[in-house]
Amino acid sequence: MSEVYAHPEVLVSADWVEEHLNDPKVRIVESDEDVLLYDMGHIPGSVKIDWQGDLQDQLIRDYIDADKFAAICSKAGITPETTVVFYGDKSNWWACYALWAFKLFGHQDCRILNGGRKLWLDQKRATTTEVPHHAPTKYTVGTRAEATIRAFRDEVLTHSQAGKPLLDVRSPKEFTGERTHMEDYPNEGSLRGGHIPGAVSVPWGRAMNDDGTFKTADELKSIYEGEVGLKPDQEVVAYCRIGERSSLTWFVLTYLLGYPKVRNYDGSWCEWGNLVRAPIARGA
Amino acid sequence: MVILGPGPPFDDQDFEESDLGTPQAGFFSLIQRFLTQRIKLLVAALEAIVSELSEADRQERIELLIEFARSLPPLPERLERLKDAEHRVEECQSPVFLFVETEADRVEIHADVPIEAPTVRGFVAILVEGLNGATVEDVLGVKNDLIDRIGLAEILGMQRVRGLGGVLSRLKKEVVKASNPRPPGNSQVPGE
Repeated sequence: MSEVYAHPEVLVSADWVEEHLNDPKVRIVESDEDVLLYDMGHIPGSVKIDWQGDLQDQLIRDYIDADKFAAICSKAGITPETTVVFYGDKSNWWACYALWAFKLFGHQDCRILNGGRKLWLDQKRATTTEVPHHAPTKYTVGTRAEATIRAFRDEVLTHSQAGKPLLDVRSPKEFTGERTHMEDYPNEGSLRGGHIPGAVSVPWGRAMNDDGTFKTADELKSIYEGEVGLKPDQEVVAYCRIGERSSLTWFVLTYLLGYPKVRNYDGSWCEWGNLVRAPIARGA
Repeated sequence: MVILGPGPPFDDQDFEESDLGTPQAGFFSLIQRFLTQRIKLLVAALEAIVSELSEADRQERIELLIEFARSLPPLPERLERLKDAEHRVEECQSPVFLFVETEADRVEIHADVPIEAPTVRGFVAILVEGLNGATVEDVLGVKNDLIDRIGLAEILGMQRVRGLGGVLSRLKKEVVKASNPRPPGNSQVPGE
């Protein structure tokens, strides 16, 4: 008997998006690694929210404040009640990252377009280069969820020392310490290679099918529970290099498998691998 | 006439301002000034692109980059078959393949980048269009602040532009490789 996702409503299909293109209660948001993609053609009516230019503070390594977040939502025509559907390139890495950031600010209804930008284009669905103008809304930031979904370095240290589950979702070579950066991303490296003691290597891509959609609940369970031995009620922390790949794993554990206590360590290896006296383990 | 090779491979650092305090500084500073003069005269194509992009506003710049990305000519079939690790630019996050040949001191560049990575593809297209037919010295003389000068840093933000620098460095290395005569004792050219 095959199981369904714990929160199946957070994953929407391309058909669903097509049916809701003109639904005023739904806003489609594109978040990509490559900043030009949206302008080359996007889902009609969708807006671009950039993980770096929009969601990150440009001075301090942190996210924007509540006022700026409210301004972004207002400009995008998003109200606190809007269903926001994220999609993007690279198997939805940045879509998941943007979703996680929206959750930091307590936005209620956030979903992911399964398969992201690639599947939409592969299926030759409609795109446009027209940038929509949505009437500005009055957006008030709700209860922030930072404490429940974001982990900071001191908490991660305590977590590691307590032997609680830590998932390292980077490539195997980054985990062993052979590489101090992600393959092909040499400039986002760190001074030390390896992983946080006690972390288990589960590369993010294990949760994905080749077409960029998520694996089934059964397949995900056999990986995260069968192989890794996680239990749904455990406190789990996931990390990668700057927190983007681990926000995808956070999404999988939280919404597809229904784990209530998963946090993303967005400081990730770019912080830990440069942190003076932070304990590090090497090897497989 | 300045002869650049053979000799130690040129590193990007050779052209950094910060090197001017070392004993070789005078020499490099002279080369640098000489090259700057020559670039002004000879790399007109690249300079035209630079001024077009730097004068554009943010949205125009995005559209220009997309045009460049779309305009990158496909690889000739003979090179398509040679897309291997040796021709892949490791420094870059997207699969970028660079092929550099020289014909009588003129540089010929071919490149392949997937359209799914339009930023990198657009930047590579600028290099191909701006530097094809330029001399070896012209290419080596392109300063590494090109990415800033065409306003890419402003659009992309710091985290994204750094990979692009790798493409320019790699291009220079490939140009040196393609233009250097083989070392003595190994003069036999395969296939000839």
